[in-house]
Amino acid sequence: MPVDTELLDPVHLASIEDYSLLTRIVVDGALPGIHRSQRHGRGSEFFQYREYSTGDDLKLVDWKVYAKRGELVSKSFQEDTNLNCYLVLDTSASMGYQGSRSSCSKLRYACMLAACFAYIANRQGDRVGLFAYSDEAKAWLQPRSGSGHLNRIFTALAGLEAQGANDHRNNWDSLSSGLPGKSLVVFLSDFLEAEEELPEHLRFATSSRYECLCLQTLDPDEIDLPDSEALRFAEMEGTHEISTSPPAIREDYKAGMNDFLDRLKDNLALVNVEFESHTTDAHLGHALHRFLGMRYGSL
Amino acid sequence: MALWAFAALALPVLAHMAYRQVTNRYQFPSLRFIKPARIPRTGRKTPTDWLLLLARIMLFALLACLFADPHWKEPSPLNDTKIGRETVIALDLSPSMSGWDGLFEAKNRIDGLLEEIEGQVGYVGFCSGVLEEIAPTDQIELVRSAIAQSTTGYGTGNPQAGIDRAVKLFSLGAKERNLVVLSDFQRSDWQTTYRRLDEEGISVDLRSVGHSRKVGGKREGNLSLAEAKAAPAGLGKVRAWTVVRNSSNELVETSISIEAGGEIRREKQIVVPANGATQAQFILPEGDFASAILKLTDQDEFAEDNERHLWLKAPPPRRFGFWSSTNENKETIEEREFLKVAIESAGDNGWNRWLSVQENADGLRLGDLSSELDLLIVTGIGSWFADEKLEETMKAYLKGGGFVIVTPSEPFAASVSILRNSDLLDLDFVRVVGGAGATREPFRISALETSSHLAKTFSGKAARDLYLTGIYRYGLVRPAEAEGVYTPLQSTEGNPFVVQRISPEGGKLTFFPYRLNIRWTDLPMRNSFLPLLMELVRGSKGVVDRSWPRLESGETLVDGEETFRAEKPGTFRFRDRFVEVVLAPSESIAEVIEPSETRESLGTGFIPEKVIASGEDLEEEESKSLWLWFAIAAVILFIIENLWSKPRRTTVLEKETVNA
Repeated sequence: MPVDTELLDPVHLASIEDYSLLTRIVVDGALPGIHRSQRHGRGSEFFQYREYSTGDDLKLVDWKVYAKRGELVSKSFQEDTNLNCYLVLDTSASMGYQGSRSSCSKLRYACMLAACFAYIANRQGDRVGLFAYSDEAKAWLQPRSGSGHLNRIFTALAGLEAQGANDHRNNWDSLSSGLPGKSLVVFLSDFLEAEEELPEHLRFATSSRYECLCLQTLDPDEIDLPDSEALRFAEMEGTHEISTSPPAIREDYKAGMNDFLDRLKDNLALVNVEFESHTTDAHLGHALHRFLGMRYGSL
Repeated sequence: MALWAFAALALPVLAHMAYRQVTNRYQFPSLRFIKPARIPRTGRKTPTDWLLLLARIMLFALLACLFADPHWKEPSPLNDTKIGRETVIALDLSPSMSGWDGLFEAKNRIDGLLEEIEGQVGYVGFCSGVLEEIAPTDQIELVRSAIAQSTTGYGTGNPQAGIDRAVKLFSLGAKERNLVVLSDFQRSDWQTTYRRLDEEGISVDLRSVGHSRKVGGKREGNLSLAEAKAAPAGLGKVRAWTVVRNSSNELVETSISIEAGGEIRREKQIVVPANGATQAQFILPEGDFASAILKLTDQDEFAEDNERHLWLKAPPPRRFGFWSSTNENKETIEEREFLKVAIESAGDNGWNRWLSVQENADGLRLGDLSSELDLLIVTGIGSWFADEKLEETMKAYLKGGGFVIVTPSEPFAASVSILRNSDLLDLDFVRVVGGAGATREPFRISALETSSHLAKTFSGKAARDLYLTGIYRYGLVRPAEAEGVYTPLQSTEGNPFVVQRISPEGGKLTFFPYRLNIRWTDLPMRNSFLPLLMELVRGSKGVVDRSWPRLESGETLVDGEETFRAEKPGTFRFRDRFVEVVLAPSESIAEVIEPSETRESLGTGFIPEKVIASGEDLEEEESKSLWLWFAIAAVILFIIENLWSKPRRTTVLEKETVNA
């Protein structure tokens, strides 16, 4: 499928503050047709009228309409998929990092992705929920469908700020205990230092009722360190400081980071959780396809 | 010492700084894979870094100089001549020194002093300012002669001016500076004087004179005319009134006289209680004499305050006139005549009187703006005003600070239209209120705003009389909101009863929205009417204050471009004003300040050792500290050093070069 990568470039998208507009640009503009039509059939919820075609079940013919207008029309119903899409967003201070090579912070990038996911899911008729946290829950919207709810999600995303230390353990526990049935849970975080504890807490994903996708958002600086001869690094979620020369430690750092990413991916695979890592200078298409592929089949 | 210390410190610090790598604090999500590493040194010997090193060396050199507190010494001719001892004699020549033989005693003591003083001698004679001065000189006779000829001034004594000037007379190169002050140390003059002369290296010698009759904190034996004024005393008579104060601890019997036309006209005995006062007055025929002198006949310790000059002339009257229609109706004639009589009876029993000068008002009506008129009353403004095109004349009169009272005519709406169309007063006419029912309850004036000008005048009974005023009919008008437009009087319903427009030049136009006769209001019959009229006039530049100005010696009076400076007490003419100049009452005060208080204000006379140790310290006053300049240069260099030594980003190109 052709993808207008320029429209998906965060360099352009970062300047759009309105998530409603952003999602329409991304989903309707750059990824036309990525969403399938809704499945219509014998669900419980009336969807629309359509012209009667030969072979339609006569039970579906609306006789009242026929009596009034003399036309045969069949009622169609929307299938009740019972799917909930839960977007889980890490808003700890480390997510506020924005290196010189990025046009937006990690949190902003994750929010843009989350907004697109919510928009797509809503268009598909799924219920969408949002859970944002750092040291405590910052936003928690239970899954619902409809444009009004979608706007509430966009508003909540716009109000998020990166601050506080992360407390994955307590927040994930709170979330997993309150998950509704048959859910797709999308985690958006940098997952720093969480390669051991994260799989433990995502064991619920091994159940057939849940699908889980972990989208890791990193800044390019986190992959290979910033370009500077000497820096005094200060931890964003702590008080620890280290003075060092990035060029001198770059190779060791990259090796350590790669090892961390591999272990994270492996550990998540053990609990049947899909994992995708991307940097904030990458366009949004890859992450969107991954999301769509999981929920709505390969496109 | 500071230079050596910094030189010793600078070497190791410079060595350290030359290889210092400044690291910026950089917030990063996780330090998990970040390891400490040896920070590359910047002290590579490249030409750029040599310049940085040079900047750092200069910075340290500047800091060393900064703490050494360098001074720039300007060549001063005074510094070249090393003068030994200088003495400046400060002599109080305020009027009070003429009493109690203060000046006589001072001169005698100075004579003796000049025989003893070594080195150069200077002189400052002061009253309200410096009257005479001689810089320190070897010519002692010159100083002696000047002091011998000195006389007291008339202004209020201002020792601060004398002391400040005396200090400036000292040469900077003088090794010893002495100030000798001779004064009666009258409390009113000296109580605010302050200058720590000891901290300036000047020794002070305070010598009290004129204290021969000092008892406790004050001097005995003085009677003074504390106050005097002339006022009308019935038809054709004038009263000269005075207050005599006794500053002694004993009752005094004396006599007081009034001298006019070169002769003593009256004399009377008075008894003044100890530390008290008594009044005396003389009645003289008005017009016989323009001025008079009140005199205490017995001499006392301070003669200057035994006389008081005063004018017996009444100030010229304020002039007013009328404009009205040439075809006056009965109502207008009644109103005009009533106002004429009422205003002429205003004033201080004819002393501050108003005079109807209709010819001046007529002259103004013909366009002669030079016509002298303090108040113009337009009774029954109507179409005649517009027909004669009087609005421009009135505007010019108001612009010149004139004061105008306007009453309406009938139809009322036409009066309002004329005022509005001629741009004199922007009013909207609503209707005439109260015209139909003659027997109805009259309209009342509402309570004056407490902060208003009128409220200060009308209080108690006066206010009650004003509030009892009945207004039977009035034109309901709405003045446009504009700058300078006020409604000083309002009805209890909040409708304007008087509308005033004050022009920026001070002219006032006052509009009564009713006629000032008994058919419209009983206001003209009220006791409060004339005070109200006068209060509405008061404060306007158009009405000249006719009371005679009284000045103390040393004060000035400005009228237009001319200035009158009061010197000797007496009566004087200044333009069309009659001015009384009096001796400052504070000079009659007998209290003297204790020497200990004055010493505290001027320094005890003890010269700190470091000040008199050598003349070098005195010379330092002439040199200018360069501390600020060095500080500025050091800050600039520090900023440059910081910017220069900031870690720079490794550009992609540089990286590729390094990798290659």
